[in-house]
Amino acid sequence: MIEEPYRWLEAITNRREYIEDQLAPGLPVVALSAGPGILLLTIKTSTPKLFEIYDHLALGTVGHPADIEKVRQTAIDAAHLEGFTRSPNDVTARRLVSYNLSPALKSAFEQIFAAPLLFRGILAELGATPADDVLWRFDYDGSFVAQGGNELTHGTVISGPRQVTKDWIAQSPKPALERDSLKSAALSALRLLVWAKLAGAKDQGVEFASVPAEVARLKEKLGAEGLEFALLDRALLGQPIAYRVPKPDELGI
Amino acid sequence: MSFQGPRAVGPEGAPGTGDFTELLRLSGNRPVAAEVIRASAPPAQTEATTVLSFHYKDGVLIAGDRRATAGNVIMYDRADKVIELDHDTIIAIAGSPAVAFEMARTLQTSFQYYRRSQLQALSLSAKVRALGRLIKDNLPMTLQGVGAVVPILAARDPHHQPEPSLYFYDALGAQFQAVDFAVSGSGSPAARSVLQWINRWSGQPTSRRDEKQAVQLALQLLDVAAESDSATGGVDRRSHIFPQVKFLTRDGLRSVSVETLRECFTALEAAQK
Repeated sequence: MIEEPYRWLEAITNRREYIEDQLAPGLPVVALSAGPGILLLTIKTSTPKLFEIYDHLALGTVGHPADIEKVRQTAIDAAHLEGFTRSPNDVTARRLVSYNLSPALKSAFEQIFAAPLLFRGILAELGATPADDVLWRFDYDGSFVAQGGNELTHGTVISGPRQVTKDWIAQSPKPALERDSLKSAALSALRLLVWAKLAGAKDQGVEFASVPAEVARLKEKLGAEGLEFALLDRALLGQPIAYRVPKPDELGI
Repeated sequence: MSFQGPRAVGPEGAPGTGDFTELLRLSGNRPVAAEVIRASAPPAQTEATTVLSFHYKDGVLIAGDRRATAGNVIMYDRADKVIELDHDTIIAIAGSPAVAFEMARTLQTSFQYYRRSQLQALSLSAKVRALGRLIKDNLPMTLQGVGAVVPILAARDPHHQPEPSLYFYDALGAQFQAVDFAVSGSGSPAARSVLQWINRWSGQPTSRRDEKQAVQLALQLLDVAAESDSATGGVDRRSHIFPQVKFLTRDGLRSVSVETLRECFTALEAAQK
């Protein structure tokens, strides 16, 4: 049946539509590069969505927990094998995404008789300075985008609705986010998280400027939902573990 | 790599076991040599050492000299034989550095791999066994007379057993918990004799000694071992090469600085004048 090209295209289109529908309720995950490190922030659910992958790598995820687990384990396997057989300095997000995760995701996406992977992720790589940080967004179909350098000033966000990421990129003018200290970065990340949640829930765009800048009001917008957060701590770079979960007091949120 | 590729999994579809050595095997990278290599004569192998460890007042001290030898040749005088495997575990290696360093690296990666993949830390007993398994896997090399490794392990579990424990192994991988001290390496008989005398007859067993006294004792023991064993470096006064000394206590792991070692050793020498 799928020997005919248009049937295959139709099957892939249906598959994409199905995956996007399944991912749509997914809550946003924000990653922000700041002076003290890379902060990852999301809304807390019953299963974790932020993970340590390697010494200087962290993963933020949206999707089905079982599929997240497959991608996470694959990333951990590849990173540790590379770190062991070569050196920890050879483990980079670029190689992990480009040569391991993306081809595997694309292959899984195109196997139209197998169950699809419901997954969307951000892989964060901590550098010596904020300018050296890189955030890689990658998707269930194997597509990926690197965000580094000046682009990082604005943070990055993924969410169930794919449009949220596009809307954030399209925001103009780009809001300047405070990120010198951990607390200011956490407030900026929280604003971005609230914006992404509102943007994902509405059919039309939400202006970032309309999102409050006070923690209490931002938390009101989130309702009873708690937060899950993690930090790739620049002060710990070069040590075996730069990933840590800061105390809420440190973040001020 | 695919999502069905080589992974540390049991049956297909089963969750990962967190076993890094199994992942290495599946990917074609074995942690240590496991094949018998037939050679007319074993090559001159690089060896080491005297490593020692004992309980002192606040925890465990673990120390090692810095010399690596091949036959009667001194290959290296700055070898690091006391290696931190993670925040709560230290290994001191005696034997073939080629195998021992690889074992230490395998364990370092294994512990982190398990913690990251299983989202919990490996238990203390599993860490102790993991080293025993690597030594057992190295049996062919040990039997051939090349690549034997007999290490000491100091470890604690910060959540369930915060007091550090001390373990020693035989060349086949059996592990034993040391109540008072553990030594290993070619120079260890001298250190063992002194430690036995100290704990039995000196009136001041190691467990009653404070941090400074413990460091001084470690330096003295390595110095004594170096007197009778050419493969042990002891304290190199001329080149200012001091042994490695580390502490593992309820508060975690700490290295003793070269400055502190120099001060302690100078004080010992001054006391003899």
